[in-house]
Amino acid sequence: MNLHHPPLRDALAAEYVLGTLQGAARRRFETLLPAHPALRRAVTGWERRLNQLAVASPSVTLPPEVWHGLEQRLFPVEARRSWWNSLALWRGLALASVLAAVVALAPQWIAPTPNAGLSFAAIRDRNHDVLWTVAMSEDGRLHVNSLRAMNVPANQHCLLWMKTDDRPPMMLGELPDQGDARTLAMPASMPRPTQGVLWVSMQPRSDDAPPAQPLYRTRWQTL
Amino acid sequence: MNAVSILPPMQATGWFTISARALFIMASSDSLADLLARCALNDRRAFEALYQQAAPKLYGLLLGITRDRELAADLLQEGFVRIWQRASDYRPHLGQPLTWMGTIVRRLAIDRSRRGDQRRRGELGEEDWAMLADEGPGPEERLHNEQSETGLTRCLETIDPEPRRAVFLAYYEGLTHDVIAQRLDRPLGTVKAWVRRSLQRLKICLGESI
Repeated sequence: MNLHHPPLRDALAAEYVLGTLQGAARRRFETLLPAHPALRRAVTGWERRLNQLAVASPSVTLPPEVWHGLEQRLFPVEARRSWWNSLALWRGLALASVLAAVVALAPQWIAPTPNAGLSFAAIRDRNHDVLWTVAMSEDGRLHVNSLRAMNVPANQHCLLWMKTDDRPPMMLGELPDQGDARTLAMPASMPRPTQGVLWVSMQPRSDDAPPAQPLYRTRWQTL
Repeated sequence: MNAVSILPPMQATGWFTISARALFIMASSDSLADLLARCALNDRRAFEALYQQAAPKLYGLLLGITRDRELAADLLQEGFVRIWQRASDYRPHLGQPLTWMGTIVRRLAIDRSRRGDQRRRGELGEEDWAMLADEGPGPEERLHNEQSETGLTRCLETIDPEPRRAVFLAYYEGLTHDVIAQRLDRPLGTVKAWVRRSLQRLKICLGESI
């Protein structure tokens, strides 16, 4: 690489920032960067120019645990205190913790035997922490407990959906947050509800359209 | 007076505090530059507001490159750790705040993909991605809507459609020359020349001679 030739230096910096400089050429470029201020200036200039394109990226809803993880990583004591200090957490914890313990500790005892016993589901984040538990009573009502504060933006909410193979997701209602509990009704039109998959979406309050992709999904378990 | 000082403490209990925090975030009209400046002073509320405002777009940028929600979330988290740690490095001459933050997270994504086989895409197929990013317009139209007054949009319009598409595929999807050539069904040499000339033209148009 002839880095004393400004046009070549600039062209390499441009393709480095764009990402089209690859393989051995990219690695060599990176080893030269620390010792060549002019090269670093060229890279900075191209980052400033090309990354204006970032504003045209689509906005995509984030899983709330990304913020939780970030908070715990940067401010571990603060995040832990706000979690344990949430009095609302304890309100629904008795039933929820039993269900969560069953799900977490004894999955091998749980046989998928629909139409019998207590049906419940645990909705977990990608770290496998339980966010909500859902228990279905015999009359078809769903008792939902929130175990984690979700840090949902004020203009959004988390919705619970039922998805079966043969029909689009059907909305069951808004999920509780901040340790609260809520009872939702299973639509009478839903045959064999425990055969379906529960979906969770986070979306603007003004938009109750079925999600294209769920934020979380889980299957029913039966005791 | 700093607005943060009148807010209830973060660790206070009960729903009221949470709602107050959410309202603060929603009502905040602070610019990203203001929020970054306050992050440099270790203002965690500003950091949360910055995250709420900027993270969805940066996540969209990372998802476009990785097509893998878990990897994109990991990279976003790593990016925001760096944003928090380096907030005091931000200067307006480095570009708009979102440009600066985009530089941090996109560099992580490109570094990651160039270390492995970037043709191995994540779990999101083209259809899944189209649904997730279902805002109708593609990047060109979004760019026009977001930056209709800026030189970048005007300069991109001076580039022919196919070379411009090659640049967009490299930027928004993190594709290399050979993958772009396959995608556009054009010879590799043609795609390389398109990208090189487009970048030169962009710089000249933006008023900077090479």
